[in-house]
Order: sequence, then structure tokens, then C-alpha cells
Amino acid sequence: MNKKTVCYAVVAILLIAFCVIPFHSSNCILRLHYSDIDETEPFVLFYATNEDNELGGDKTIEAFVNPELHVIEFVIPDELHNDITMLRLDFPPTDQTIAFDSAFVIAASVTRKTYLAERFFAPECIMGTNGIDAIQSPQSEVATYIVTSGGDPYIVLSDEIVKVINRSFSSYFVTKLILSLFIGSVIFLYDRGKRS
Amino acid sequence: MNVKKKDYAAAIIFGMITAYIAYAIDKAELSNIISDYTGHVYVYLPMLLKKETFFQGLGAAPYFLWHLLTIIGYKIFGIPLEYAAGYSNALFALFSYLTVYFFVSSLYKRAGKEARSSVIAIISFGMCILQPIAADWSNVWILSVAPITPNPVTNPTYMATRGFAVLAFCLVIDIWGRQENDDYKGIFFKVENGLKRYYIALSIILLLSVLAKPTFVEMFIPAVGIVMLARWIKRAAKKDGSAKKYFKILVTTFLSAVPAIVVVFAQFLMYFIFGGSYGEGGSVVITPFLQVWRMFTDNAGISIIRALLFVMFVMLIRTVPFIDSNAGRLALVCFVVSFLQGAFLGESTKLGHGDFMWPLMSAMFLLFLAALKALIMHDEKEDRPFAGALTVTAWTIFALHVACGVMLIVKELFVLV
Repeated sequence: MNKKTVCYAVVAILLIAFCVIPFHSSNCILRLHYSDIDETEPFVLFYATNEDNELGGDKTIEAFVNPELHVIEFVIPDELHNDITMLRLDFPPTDQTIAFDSAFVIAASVTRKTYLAERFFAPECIMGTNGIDAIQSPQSEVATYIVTSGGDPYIVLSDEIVKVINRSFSSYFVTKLILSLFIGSVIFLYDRGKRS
Repeated sequence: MNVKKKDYAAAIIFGMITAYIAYAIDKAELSNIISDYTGHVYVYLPMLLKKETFFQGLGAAPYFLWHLLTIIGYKIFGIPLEYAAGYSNALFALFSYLTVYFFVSSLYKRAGKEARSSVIAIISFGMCILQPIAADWSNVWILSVAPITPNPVTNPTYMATRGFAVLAFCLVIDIWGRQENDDYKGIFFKVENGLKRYYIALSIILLLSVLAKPTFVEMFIPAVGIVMLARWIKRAAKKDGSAKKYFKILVTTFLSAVPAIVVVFAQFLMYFIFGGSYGEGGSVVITPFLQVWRMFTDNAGISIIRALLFVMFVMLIRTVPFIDSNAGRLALVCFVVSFLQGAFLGESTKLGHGDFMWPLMSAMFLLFLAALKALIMHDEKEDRPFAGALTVTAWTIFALHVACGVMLIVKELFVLV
């Protein structure tokens, strides 16, 4: 093997190692888009984990309404990667009607899953409710209306959504692959350019 | 080329637009309670204006060129403080635009290409406002001034360093060219007549840059040093006697950076040791890898790609001219140095301010300048399939960055207010 082949091999090994050596996982973001809301108190996402399979305690993630972007965003930390067993979405304890448009699951700057609100709050995606007077999705509208009462309104999300969220944490493989391909291409093109 | 002398109208108009945008952003940002402008105008400037709090103010903002210009407008010309701040901003933006115009027109001149001043003006204007490729439909692609941008237009002191940064970059490119080759003719300056005056000019420019904000030289001086040390080591390894001569050149170049280095250390003393940094016990700390980045982005890699898409594309289509040029090498080393600073350094009491991300933004801007140089001065080989198409694509990506800058400005001016 000549010197150049060895150099290319070393670069290739380094770039492959960069791609496959695990880095920390990204956070996962559950983002709900709304078109109408009154409440400014926080929404709370309760979670249960493999170690502690009960909802409650300090296992919560708070999110405030962002009136500029019309979103409510829960940032689920990377420590919970593949560890969530149950999710419960708690609404502010007031009487109100909220119009949700859609829900997104995002990780590492990439949208992993998009739901219309009708699908996200569909009966098969809900394992239980409390203090929710109605969930309506009129046929002529994108929005799904959720009517809450002043008690302790919440929705327990389905196993399918929990699964999607658990799967969505990213290990940045594609990003690392793109950067590696770029660096490899620059090295190759530089070498070829110098020779010609 | 060349730029026709009677064809400067477009250059002047775009200069005025650049200045007005900077002025208007100042006004818009002042309506935002938590913004860099609010801090500088309503906290630091009042401190600097009172005898009792002057030194406290100087400790909190030991980089005072922007503040000084604002105070001159306020005290001498009687302009209200908010407006004086806007005019300072406009003047620094205009200065920055003119230096980029000088940079781009010098490239066309050196390449012997025809270029209307309107084209140069559009490119220069674009460079002053461009932003990472972004869209509002996803939170991560969101159109906002994040710390990972070549143009953090909402920070007055960073933007005040911009013109000095461009001039320092031009000076080092030409100084290096002349140091390497006695027959070298400068792209930007007449270095063929001797380097003495340009070392002095570099010294003054670096000093002014530090007085505007030290973050550019925090990255630039180490990067220049690293490249020159590498070249010296390479010569020493050859053992042909050239290393000794180059060492003298290295020392001379270093001496031109000494005033700036002294002032940076003085600023550090004021900021960290004498308590200028707000919050008790503030100091520089080494953080876990990318800890500060993660406060601003979910994916550092994608953020870099978004911010530098044009540069990356030019690196692929002009690989050899980019990497083999002094401009490309310097900008790349600047990027690596500043990336490491941003990845490992923070301020203990205010990590969330990302104050060690500023050098990275300067380095990104230098990468854009280096990419422009490679794109303008070197043509595609004509025998290449689709000759010209890659160049057009590169300019299209550049235009996309500029379009995102325009959208951000519209949002700043018409949504924020």
C-alpha cells in the first residue's frame, strides 16, 4: 500500500468512527399548535419511567403558551430516551375551550412525526381523561376543540404516542453522516484537484 | 474590470439602506425589554454617563467604542440617547458595508473581471444582512437571531467590530502574501512597496476592533499565530535555513498584535477580576463539550450547515483555490479555534448568554469572505459538464441566505414593534 492509500484509509476510519461512536442523544420536543386559547398558566406533561412506573411526583415537564408562535412546547430531556412508559397531558384548571391544530414530535432539529390534532386527540390515541367535557373535531375544520372544566383536566396519551416519542430521540447519525461526507468529499476533491 | 467611476449610485443607495436597517433595528430592539440594545442603552450608557458609576460601567462594558460614539452624539450634539444609539449603529453598519464593498471590488479588480458597482453593492449589502437558511414553520428552523449566525444584527457591539474585522482579514491576506513571496502584488493594498506601514495599520485596526468588542481578536490572533507557527515548523523541518528568516517575520507580525493583546488582558481584568461581569463570582469556566451550544440549538451540526451552506458548497466546487489560499486557510483555522472556544468555554454565572460564541460568528463571516474570494477569483473549468451551472447554484444559495436575512429584518421591524 502506498502512502496515499494509507492516508485515505485513516481518514475513512476516523470519519466512520465519528459517525458510529455514540454521542449523547438529543432532547425530544412535543409541540402542540393551537389556534385559540385563553389560558396563560402552564400546561404540564407528567411522565412515568421504567424505574418508576407511577405518574406524579416531580416527574413533570412544564410548558407555557407561546402567543407569538401559537405553540405549546414540551422539551423532553435526553435522559428519558427509551425510558418513558406513560404520558399524561394536564391542562390549566379552568373552564375553557382550546382549539388545537396539530402536534409535532421533533428531535435534533428534525420533525419526526406530524399529527393533525384530529388524529393526535383521536379516541384510539387517548387512554383516559379527567375533567374534559368534550373533544370535538368538526368535519369542516382542521382544529380539534377540547373543552376543559375547572377541576383537574388531563388526557392520558396512548401507548402509540409514547412509542413514537421514545423512538424519536436522535443520536445525530444523519447529521454526522452528512458532515463526514462533506469532509471526505473536500479531502478527495482537494487531492484530485492538486493532481490535475 | 473595472468599476465605472460614474456608476456609484447603486453603491451609495445600498449603503444608505444598510445604515437605515441598522438604525431601525436599534429602534425596534429598544421596545424589547430583554435585548442587547436595551442593556447597552438603558443600563451601561447611563452608568458610563455618571461620574459615580463610570468605573462600574466600564467594568461591565470595557469595550466602549460604540458607547463612546453614542455618548458623543448625546453629549456634544444633544441627540436623545436612543436616537444617538441608532445613529452609532448606522455609522458602524455603513463602515462595515464599505469595507465589504472594498473587499469585493478589490477581488473583481484583481481577477480582471468586469463588474458593475451595482453588482458589487448588492453582494456587499447581502453580506451585511445574510442569515442562516431558515423557515418559521419549524421551531428549529426558526427565523431568529441565534448565536450561530454570521450576522447577529441585534448586538450593537458585535456589529461595531465588523468593519475592523474585514480590514484585518484583508491586511493579513496581503501581508502573508508578501511575506511568502517578494514578487507578490497585493489584492487589497500595495504591499509590494514594503510592509512596515501595513504592520502599523494592522496594529491599529486590531486595537480598534478590541475597543469595539474583544471577541474578534480572541479568535483571530490565535488563528494567525497557529498558521504562522505551522509554517515556521514546516520550514524548520526542511532545514534549508528559511526558518530563521521566517521566525523574524513571525515575531514582527506578533508585535503588531501586542497592543490589542494588552488591551484584551486589561478588559479581562476589568470584566472578571474587578467584578465587571454581573453576578457574583463570574469567571471563565471550562464546560463539558458543546454545553453552551445546546442551550441554543438541538443540533449543532445542522446549525452549522444552515449557517454555512454557501461556504460548504463553494468549498466543494472551488476546493483547491479555497484551501490553498491564505484567505481560506485563515478563515478555516479561525473557525476551528472559535468552534473550540464556543464548545468548551463559558461564563460561570451566565452560561446562557453564550458569550464565547461571538468569536465563532466572526469566523463564520470570514468564511463567507473567503468563499466569495474563491468564487469570484476562480472560474469553473470550461470542459466540466454543466460548466457555469455550479457557479450559478452557488450564487443562488448565497441569495437564499440573503433572502433569509431580508425576512428576518422584516420580522424584526414589522412584527417586533
